[in-house]
Amino acid sequence: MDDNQDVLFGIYCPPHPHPLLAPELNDGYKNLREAYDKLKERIESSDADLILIYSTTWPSIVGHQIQAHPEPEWIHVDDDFHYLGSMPYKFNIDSEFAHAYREAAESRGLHSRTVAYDGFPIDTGSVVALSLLNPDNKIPACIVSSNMYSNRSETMVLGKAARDALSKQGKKAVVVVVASLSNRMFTEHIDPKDDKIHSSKDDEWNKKILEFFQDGRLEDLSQLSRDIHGQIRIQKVAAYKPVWWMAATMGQHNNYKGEVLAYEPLHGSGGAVIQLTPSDESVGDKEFDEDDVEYYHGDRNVLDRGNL
Amino acid sequence: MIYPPTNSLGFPISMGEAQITKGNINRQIAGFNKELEFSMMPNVQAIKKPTDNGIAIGHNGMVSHFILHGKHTHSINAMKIFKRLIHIAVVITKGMGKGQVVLGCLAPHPPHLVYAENPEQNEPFSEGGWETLRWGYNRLARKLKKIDYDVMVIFTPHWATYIGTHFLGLPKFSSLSVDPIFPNIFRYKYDLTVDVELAQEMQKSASDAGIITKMMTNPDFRIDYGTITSCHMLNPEWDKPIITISSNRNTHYYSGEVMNEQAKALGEACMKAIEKSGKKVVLVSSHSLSHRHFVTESPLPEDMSREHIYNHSQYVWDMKMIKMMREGKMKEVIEIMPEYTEQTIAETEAGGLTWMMAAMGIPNYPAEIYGYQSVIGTGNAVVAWDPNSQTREIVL
Repeated sequence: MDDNQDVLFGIYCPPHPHPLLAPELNDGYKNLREAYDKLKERIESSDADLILIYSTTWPSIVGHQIQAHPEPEWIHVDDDFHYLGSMPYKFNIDSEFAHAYREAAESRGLHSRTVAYDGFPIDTGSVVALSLLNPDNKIPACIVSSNMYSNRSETMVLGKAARDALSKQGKKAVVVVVASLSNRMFTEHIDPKDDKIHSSKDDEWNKKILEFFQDGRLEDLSQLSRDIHGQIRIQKVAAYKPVWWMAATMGQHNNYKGEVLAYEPLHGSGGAVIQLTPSDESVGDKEFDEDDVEYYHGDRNVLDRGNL
Repeated sequence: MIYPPTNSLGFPISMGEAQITKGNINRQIAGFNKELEFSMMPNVQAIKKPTDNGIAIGHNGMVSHFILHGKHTHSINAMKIFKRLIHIAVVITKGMGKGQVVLGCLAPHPPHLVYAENPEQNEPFSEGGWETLRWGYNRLARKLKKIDYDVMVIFTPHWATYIGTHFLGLPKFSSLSVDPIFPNIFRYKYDLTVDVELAQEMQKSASDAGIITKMMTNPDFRIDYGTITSCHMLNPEWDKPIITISSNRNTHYYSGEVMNEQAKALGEACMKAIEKSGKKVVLVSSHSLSHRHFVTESPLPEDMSREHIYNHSQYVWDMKMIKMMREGKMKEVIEIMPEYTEQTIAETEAGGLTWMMAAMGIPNYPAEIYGYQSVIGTGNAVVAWDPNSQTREIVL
């Protein structure tokens, strides 16, 4: 591993509140909780200056929003799982980094802004991740939203801007992507003891994705994102974006050591806690067909070009 | 058989204080319990009251038949009156007590509108903007002031649930709402009351209809900005209780068609609960029409020189929908909803308009159009459906 890495390691974890609020309801939730706890210790013993979160449960519309309030504090309640309890939080946010990230994003053509308002509703996924991975606020954090209209090029550039900001500030980070694998939940209330992945198809796809993670094939997964979106993602947003951001931030290659710490159902969706650490070993890169992009020029407006 | 004389309504005029005439039905119904007590009493004042079945002359000189019931004898006349009273009371109280929807409102919730109004509850200050919508809202709010209603029931896309439909289930909510998308313009302190009784009735009715439901009883729950914006614009005084219903995301999980069917079923279930409650209800479907946003914002959000619809296709679709609303073709609007929603990324995807129309029995009368304007590229219309033909207006 390169000692000059800006990103020490990456984490992929689910947004659902069950491991935080009710791990006792199901052995799977407990396994997920234990995986979070292990990663919490690894983060504490790392040399990280920053925990940088990309959360799929923080949708934005006006560009890309970055949390910059130095001490956001609230009691959060999830829209669906309000009966599991409340999530009081008070986080330690690296405002300086937030502003650097915004500047880096803008210099790559993205519309971006910081948010620093008392009472701003931090999303469930970020609250769960930060509460479990950094409960004592030992390491400053930063959170970036997921624009609901953005697609691959915009998301890739957003990831590269994060890397720019880390390099510029000379900070070492643990990056955290908050997202489910398959995200179809049961549409009725279930006994947590009966929780399972919604369908065999979702389960098979999830396990294939986990194989890729286990092998450290982050760029391969990035290239597969559109297929993943079509196969196992509810069509809430334009695309399955978290791995694009993760690859762009950590490095677009397959040179990682992967570890799947837990994979369990969360009300039918696929919840996995995964660690990816930059490594010299690699399964090798393939011939990729998705373009790389350094600067965001906006939508290409193909309709305006007429019949070329 | 000797029958007492009756008035034009068929009521005996020999009831003494319990006489009922056309003009005093309401008073009689108001004092119904008292009348019951009176009429249920054995005719204790009857002279020569028989101890068994037979005929006797009452204190007012009327000849009356008496029957033995238990230990007591009762005047047959009194019992007839009693039965008639019960019947009339049931019929009238049923008619009077049946709840109803007194107005349905399509009430878009861009937080920009509250921002532009500069109410004391909202922290940011604006120089105005979006007047076409705000003035339309203001006029609709004035109309609402003249309508007698008990509760405002609102269906909001910004309480999105995937596991069934949820209802607010606590009587008070007081907190700060900060818009996660536009925190720069909406930081609103709210203090609202909820009609929990009706919310529970709606939840039960929906559940009985096979819809997955849940009451939300976590006191820390934060009310979504869609609810707050629509309710504030319709009733800035907040002097009526509300009920918020979450939007179940059937469009995401299944299709626009499934959303339409589920929302219809929910609307019908809510209508049953409203009728049973005896309450007068204003329904609010809180959403835009076409819903493609600009992803950038001008430095001054209320700079109206920047405001326009995202593209002409969105505009044409919105106008098509408004034209049908104006013509009272809500059945057709519901039928075209999945196509419209897909073509314009419309916020009707949450099911609010279908829900409201179903709860109002799919109106076939013209809607009142109060205004149409774009906000950050989305198409927004303030529209009302007034079931009362006497008060229904052509607004625009």
